[in-house]
Amino acid sequence: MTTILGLVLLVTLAFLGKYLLDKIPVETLEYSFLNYSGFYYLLLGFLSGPNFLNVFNKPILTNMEFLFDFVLGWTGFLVGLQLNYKTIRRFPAKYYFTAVVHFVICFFIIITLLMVVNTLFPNKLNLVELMLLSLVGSMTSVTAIGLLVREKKLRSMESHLLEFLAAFDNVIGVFGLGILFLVFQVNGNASTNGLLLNVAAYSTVIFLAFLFKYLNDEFNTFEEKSLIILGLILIVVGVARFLHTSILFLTLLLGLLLVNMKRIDTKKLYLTVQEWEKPLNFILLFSIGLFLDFNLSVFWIFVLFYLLIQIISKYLAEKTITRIGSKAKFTFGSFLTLGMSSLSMAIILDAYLTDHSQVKVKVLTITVITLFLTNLIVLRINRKKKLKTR
Amino acid sequence: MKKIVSAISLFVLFYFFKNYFSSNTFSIEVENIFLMGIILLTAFLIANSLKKIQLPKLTGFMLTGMLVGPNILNFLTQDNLKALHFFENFALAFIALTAGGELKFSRIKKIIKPVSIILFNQIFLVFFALLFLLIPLSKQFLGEMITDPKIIIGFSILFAATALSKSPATTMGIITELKAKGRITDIVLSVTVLKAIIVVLIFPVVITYSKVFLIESFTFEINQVLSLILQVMGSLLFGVVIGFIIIVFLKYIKIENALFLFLIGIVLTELSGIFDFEILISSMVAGIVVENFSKKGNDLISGIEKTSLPLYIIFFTFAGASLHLGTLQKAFMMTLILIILRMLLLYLSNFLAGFVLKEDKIVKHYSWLGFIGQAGIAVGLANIIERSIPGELGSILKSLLIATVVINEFLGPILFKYLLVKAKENYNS
Repeated sequence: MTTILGLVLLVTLAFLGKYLLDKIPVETLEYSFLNYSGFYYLLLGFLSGPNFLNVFNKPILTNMEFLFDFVLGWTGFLVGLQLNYKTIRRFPAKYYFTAVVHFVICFFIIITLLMVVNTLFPNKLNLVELMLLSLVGSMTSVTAIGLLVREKKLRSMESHLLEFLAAFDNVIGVFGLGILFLVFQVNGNASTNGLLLNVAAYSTVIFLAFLFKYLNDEFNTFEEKSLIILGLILIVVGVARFLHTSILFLTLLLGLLLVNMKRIDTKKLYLTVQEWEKPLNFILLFSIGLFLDFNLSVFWIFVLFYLLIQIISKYLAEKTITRIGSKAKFTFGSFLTLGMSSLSMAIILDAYLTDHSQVKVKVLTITVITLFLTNLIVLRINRKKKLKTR
Repeated sequence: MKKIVSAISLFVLFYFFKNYFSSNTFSIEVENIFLMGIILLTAFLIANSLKKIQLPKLTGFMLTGMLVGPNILNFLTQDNLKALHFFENFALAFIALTAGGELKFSRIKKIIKPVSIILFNQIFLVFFALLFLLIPLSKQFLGEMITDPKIIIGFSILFAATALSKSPATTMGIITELKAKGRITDIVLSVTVLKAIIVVLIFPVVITYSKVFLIESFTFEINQVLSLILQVMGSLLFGVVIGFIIIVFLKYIKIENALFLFLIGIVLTELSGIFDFEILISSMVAGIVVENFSKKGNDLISGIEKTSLPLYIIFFTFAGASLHLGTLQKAFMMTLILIILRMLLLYLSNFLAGFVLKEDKIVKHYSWLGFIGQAGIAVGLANIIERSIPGELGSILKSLLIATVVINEFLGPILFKYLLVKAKENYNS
């Protein structure tokens, strides 16, 4: 089977899956989460991947990498477009402080404990992999928070802060990824070359953002705008791959720059990009599923440790935030921020595609399993629990 | 000016990356992602700048292709073109699907007389008149090089057959660009689509027959033609099946139409490649089926139109990059004569149809302008000539054939746009 026909089968399966799943009534929070998070696409991807039915073998996956790159680029750009300064400054400084403190506490607890745990295993993860797991482990699930806020009708102050925290630490995560690439690229290459690569990458993004602004008044239709955005994303993705750097971070940077430029209709821009979000998200989840590999030794024990570490870190982070006197009175023991963000899968995929030798597929698999476990746990704990409601 | 400056700066950016970071190890796929972004933006910018001098966007896309292609800047190398060939076919599948989707039988009924007479004239009159004129002309201009009269006959048959081809992609591209609607638009589109189907059906016979003259040891066997016809029939059937799949989806499933059409494009492209189907025919037939056997034609067209701009850019930029500019220099006079002859015969075909049906001035004197653009099928035929006639002669005849297509491909969109403006059917303006 050719690469492209492989892709067709992949998406056809997704279609059928979606069609059938839409017919199943969704009643519990857990089912809602699995549906919203695209779990079934991931599962279909895994089933048809090289580690199960092998409908898509490894050479096909390699040939399809350009498509995964593009989808990552689109995702990063979309995240960047949400970082409009006008919107950001509407939130009180306390929110930012809370989110950053929460993230930092989680990150340091996770990295410290992971380093300790890592020594217990024969096939050790390297530092970049541990950093990545800590990074994504510190991010909060927007979907789980959204479901809880909707179903449990939390007090508006609490829900507002929770939703903000979940959204904002996703951004911190992608920035963290960018910094990680920067640090390791500069150290990994001869330092001048590493710096030069990064300067070239960021300068290109800035140049492209100004080019868009320069041409902004020339083109007004949806088709024209979409084309320009498509071209820009392709160029940035190409540049990121050329220079072995993060696609998500570079495209986020492009989105962020564009959305904050004067005379650009940001709402229109966002809607143009969002139009393709759903189909591209299907492809992203499928592709992640294709890479998953559960046949690794001592793997499950590591997952359990990682899960435990996350529970500890989130508990301590929630407690610290409440202690330092922010207005966020979390419901103790409910682990509302335990669920990992869906964006974490994209972050690990990005790192994996950039450098297979540094980041292995094991990390992606650990992330995916833990993501679903943490989200299901947080929803299960809070399903019948009476939270402080409005 | 802004657009040209932007396009140049993008070229510089690509040049810088390609040369400065060439030591970095990267695959051709990585380069292609970058290149596709550069091509989409620069072709779009250049085409929009050319609008000021009334040139159609398609011409701008082709010019960009020539500029970035192997003949000039060589950003888009032969290796890139080969690696990106799938996208070219993918774009063609969509363009042909739209062309078929625009062909409504009830609309053709109203113009059946001019369509059928023009079609008949453009196939038979053009083919036989060209064949009749080419044999003595080739002797006159190429007589010193070709001593064997059989080769002259073989070449004339192939050239006359090539002259019948008309690019549905160019037609559809201009119609979409100008949002053209009206009687002339319908006549040109109907003739173009029907002619493309008929030409593909008769090509196998003509090619096999011409080989009898071109290749010494070749004997004409009905089996050879039959297998080629079978292939064409397969293409038609495949198109019908795809058409009905689209209908069922748009009628009963109706989720993620854009993604579904994207998949259909992939299926058409890939399976056509695997089973040697004519992608153009399969896609057009699928479009015709959807338009005429369901009420979903509009859904199909609007679904594709959302993404049509990048597809047109890819198709025509690649077409421009694939043009063999070097061949224009060889046998320039003969090329010019061939182009003028074809134009005259097209004019005569349409004039006679208009005269017989007492049509207005536009049909009689101008409608031929809609049929100049030629399809890339000529390149395939030219390769047959080169393979059949080894040495310099084969190369010159091949160059002749391709050179006429190069010029016609450039003139086609410009003249068709002129026709639609003249007929006041360009609603975009």
